[in-house]
Amino acid sequence: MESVPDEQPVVHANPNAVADGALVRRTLAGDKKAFDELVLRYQRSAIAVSFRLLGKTDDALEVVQDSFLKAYKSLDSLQKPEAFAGWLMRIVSNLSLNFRRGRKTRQSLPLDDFFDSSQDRDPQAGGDSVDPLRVAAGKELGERLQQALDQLPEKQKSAILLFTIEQMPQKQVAEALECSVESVKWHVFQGRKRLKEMLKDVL
Amino acid sequence: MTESLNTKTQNTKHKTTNPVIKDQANLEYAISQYLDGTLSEFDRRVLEDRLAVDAEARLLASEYAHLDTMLRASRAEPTVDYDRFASHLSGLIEQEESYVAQPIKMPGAWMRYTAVAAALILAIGIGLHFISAPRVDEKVAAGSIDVKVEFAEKPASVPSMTIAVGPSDQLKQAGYAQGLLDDSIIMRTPKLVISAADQPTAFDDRLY
Repeated sequence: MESVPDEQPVVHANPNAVADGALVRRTLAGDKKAFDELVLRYQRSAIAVSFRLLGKTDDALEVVQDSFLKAYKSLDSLQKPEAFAGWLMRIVSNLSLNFRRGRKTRQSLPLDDFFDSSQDRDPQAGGDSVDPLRVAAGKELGERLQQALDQLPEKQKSAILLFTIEQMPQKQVAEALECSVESVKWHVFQGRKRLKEMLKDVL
Repeated sequence: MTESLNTKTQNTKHKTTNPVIKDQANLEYAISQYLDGTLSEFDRRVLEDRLAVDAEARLLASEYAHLDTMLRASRAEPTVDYDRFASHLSGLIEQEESYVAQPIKMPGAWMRYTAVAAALILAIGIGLHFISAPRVDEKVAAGSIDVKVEFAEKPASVPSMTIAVGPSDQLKQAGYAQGLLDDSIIMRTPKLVISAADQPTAFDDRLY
């Protein structure tokens, strides 16, 4: 067998699901500190997603700030408090896309950020060691990957971004995209298929 | 396709007919789920069997795996002072209005008891009505009910009193002569006369 992956990523159920729900309920009971805890828990993912969609740190921070404020203000409309993470990511994705449409800044990510900023990543965030492919990947590859991602339909791009790149559980991605888990699988597959065609010569 | 991939049935017959083996599109979808770890146990084994013997399928899986590696490696996270950002957000949230737990208004105990009592009374009333009401087709035997009416003896003298509403004849004449009353009043006859006597008495002007 050539390159069949030895390890398959394990899709975990959100270990914070109960705690998220409890924090949401506490916030709704008037405890603002509980919402601070949710901010601490999800700000990193939110910024990463927004940054990926917008390409600029400042823009991403602005959108994430608005997203958390919007989440706080409309927290009482959240039907399932345990689904906070997916719901928040939906807000982040939507506001990021709106922001991008508003400013017409459909630009590629700066490559320094694209490949090198991961050195700033939190050790808890996954911390995969230096990958040979990553070392080999240069500017051109990074640009092409980003361009290919930008050509995907929004749902496919978001599914790839949240599930494959950010490695969020499929259930959370489904909540973020407002679709079923099966649809997430399908969007990821369709996205992959198109990316493979577009990047055929480098795969 | 998905249904067949997710089938829980495990028997050898499926191994030869599973779409993973037959169909290229299904093969790619299966590989995609295989990379994500979401393929069912049965389909995973079917796919691995296929990959073990099919070089083309292995190449396909290799390309998808390579693409995933590139995508994950491309994960970009900007340099941000997260503690500071969180504090900034906390300050903004602090300025927002707090959610205040709204107590759910439940009806008081007395209201519940009253409602139950009213329902009981209504139910009993309806029940009694149906129990006591005679059926339409039920015949009452003749003579089963005796009703005797006795009239009290008429009194020898009855106090006489008449109440009349309207102008008296005297008033009409006087008013008409002096121009004090208009025609509509003069021509009006008493509208209401209540008399307790057998013989109506003459009107008394004092009643007007």
